[in-house]
Amino acid sequence: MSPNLKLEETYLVNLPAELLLGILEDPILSLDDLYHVSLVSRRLHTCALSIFLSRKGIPNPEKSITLDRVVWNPHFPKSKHPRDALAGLNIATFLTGKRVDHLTCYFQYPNSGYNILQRPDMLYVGVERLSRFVQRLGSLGTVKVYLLSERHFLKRDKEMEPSPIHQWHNWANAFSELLNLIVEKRSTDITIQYDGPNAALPAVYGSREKSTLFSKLKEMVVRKSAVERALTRPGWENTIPVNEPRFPRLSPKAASGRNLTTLCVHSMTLINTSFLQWTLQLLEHSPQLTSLSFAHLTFNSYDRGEVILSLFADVLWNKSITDFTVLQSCWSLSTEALLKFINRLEHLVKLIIDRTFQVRIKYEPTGLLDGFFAKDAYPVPPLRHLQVLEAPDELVLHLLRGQGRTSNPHPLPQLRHLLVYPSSLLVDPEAYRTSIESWRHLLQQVENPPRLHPLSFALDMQADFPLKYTGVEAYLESRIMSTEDVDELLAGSAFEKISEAIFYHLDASYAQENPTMFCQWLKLLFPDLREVRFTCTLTTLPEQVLEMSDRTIKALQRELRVKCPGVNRLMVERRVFSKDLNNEWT
Amino acid sequence: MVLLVTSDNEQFNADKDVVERSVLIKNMLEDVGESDQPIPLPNVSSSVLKKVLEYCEHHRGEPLPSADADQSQDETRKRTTDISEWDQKFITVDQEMLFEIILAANYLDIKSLLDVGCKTVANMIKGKTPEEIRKLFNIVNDFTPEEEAQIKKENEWAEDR
Repeated sequence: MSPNLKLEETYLVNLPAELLLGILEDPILSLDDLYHVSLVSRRLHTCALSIFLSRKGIPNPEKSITLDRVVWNPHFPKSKHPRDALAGLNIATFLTGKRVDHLTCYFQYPNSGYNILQRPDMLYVGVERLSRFVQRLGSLGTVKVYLLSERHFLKRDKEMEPSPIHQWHNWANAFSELLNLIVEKRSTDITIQYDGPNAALPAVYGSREKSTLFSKLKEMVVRKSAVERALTRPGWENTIPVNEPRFPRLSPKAASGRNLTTLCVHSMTLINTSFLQWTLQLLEHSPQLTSLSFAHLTFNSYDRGEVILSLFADVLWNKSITDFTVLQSCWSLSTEALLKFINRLEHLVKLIIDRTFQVRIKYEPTGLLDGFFAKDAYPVPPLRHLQVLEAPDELVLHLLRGQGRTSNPHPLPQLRHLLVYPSSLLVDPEAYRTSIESWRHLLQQVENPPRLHPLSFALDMQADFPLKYTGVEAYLESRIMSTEDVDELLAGSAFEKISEAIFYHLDASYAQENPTMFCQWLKLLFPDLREVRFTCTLTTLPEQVLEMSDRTIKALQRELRVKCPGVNRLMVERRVFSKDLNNEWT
Repeated sequence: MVLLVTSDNEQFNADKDVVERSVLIKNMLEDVGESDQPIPLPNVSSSVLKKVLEYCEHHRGEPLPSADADQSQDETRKRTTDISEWDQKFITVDQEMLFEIILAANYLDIKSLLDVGCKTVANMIKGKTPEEIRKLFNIVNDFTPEEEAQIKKENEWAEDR
């Protein structure tokens, strides 16, 4: 050891940054080592934690943070759960007061098997940990919080003993604190997805009390400015017996934020009885809100779904909602309730209803000469400003039908882009014919009378492909490609005017997903095709990308050039390929 | 032979193929061409240069990392290189000398020596608690009370499970 103590003090901490990083980046140092180094001094803190976070896939925390596993159960053995990224973020002093553009947190990463052994009733501990981080930030941009995604996990949770009241309090307090903090940090874009633990309401609540409470809430909200009054003058909760829990409310600071533009309600947690008031208050206090999205909503009954939607419509009455989306798994939302809701969104420019939405429209004859018109229960929203419509074909037809063409001769007058989900799967020739027939019918409805604006058409077949469905394969091989009566078989059987076809994924290494066969199929069924797109992701889970190999892409390009010369654009996930003047893909 | 002059004005004569393990010296020699001019090394003291030359002498003739080695190669080298027995013995010095060697290797651009130095420090850090690291490197805890409180809150949760 050197006798010169003063010099020694300067050795490690005063090394130039690149040398300090060179030492700490050595793979011999584990995440725990880096964590410990970060607790030594301020300089080492910044260097060591930056490397720690980089190794956790967060190289630039101010730009983007994705937490794909969060430890929430304090009783879980540490040896089985290595230190998570949140542990690093929560001690990162250099992030205090900073803005984070994108924050995504999976408390249970879908299909990963992580976190399935932690107890659901302890989720609030993980939520509190995330809150500690959010609280220190200066501001937030986009926030996505994914709660419990595993169905079996939730099922097991439901089978557990009813939660005691303090567990409900733990969950409601922790989650409402997080939600309020996110809004207080001026987040513009909030997604809450999947459900929280089965702590919606404690067992002391019988179903009768719940429904009484629910109707009281409805009365309060439907009355104009009721939410405002509820915030300033605590009145309605006085009607609830004192021994019942107080429901989470939007904090005054969050209410004054007013920055939210997009809200994705992808969780029943936001609209169950515990949090409904909070959600409605947030909507009420978001004058800049333009985009709303629903997914993963399962109501006990159609009625309840309709009530919730009407409550939403009530607080949205003075907002300019331009984008409305219904994504996956809104099983128990009725078509009637949805149409009534859309009917009240008069500023809509973009409407997307996912193919998983089960369209059920019962038409009843109203008179011999009237033909078949929808009952009043199924309103036809005028949607005078709608430019983009993506929906199952039955719903598109309904929106185009107009409630009697006499009163509205030009339904959807501003429409520019129409994407349709076919009503039947395209897995065998008979299904093609059915789908093509309904497409033609729809096309007639769209184009008669002529449109004010040119319209582009797309067909989304993500659910029908890859080609491993034997029907397609057999059809193409035995009946089309090898017989001479192709023309006759397909005479007039094509999806005309469709310029864009959307698929999920193709893998040339499977014999059934042969690009040659695929392009032959495209050629036969889509004579007007200009663009082919493979999403490689699911809409509600954009982080999970199923990549397509270069080999598949090259084979596709080759076959498209030969069989579908009109196709001049190929999109694979985010990559875009176009044909140049020499007919080469670039 | 090449003549090197240290910060404390001591002169060292060394073979060209020995000193050319330093990219800095190699480039300087190429720039000045054939010359008897001494090469000044104002950032290296004589005691440190002596050690550095000892290292270069021992590794004379070993292939040098290519000049255009990209970062991924660099990473692989870091990951795979264990410290040889001779290097370990060579680098068993007091902390002052260890860090002086690291600084000199960085200045002279001798990648393999820099790696040996950095890896040695990383080995010293490995498996130690924050307090042990502070003690070993004589580092003062300079967190503010507020930062300390913030760290403590999360750290208690993370450590005491």
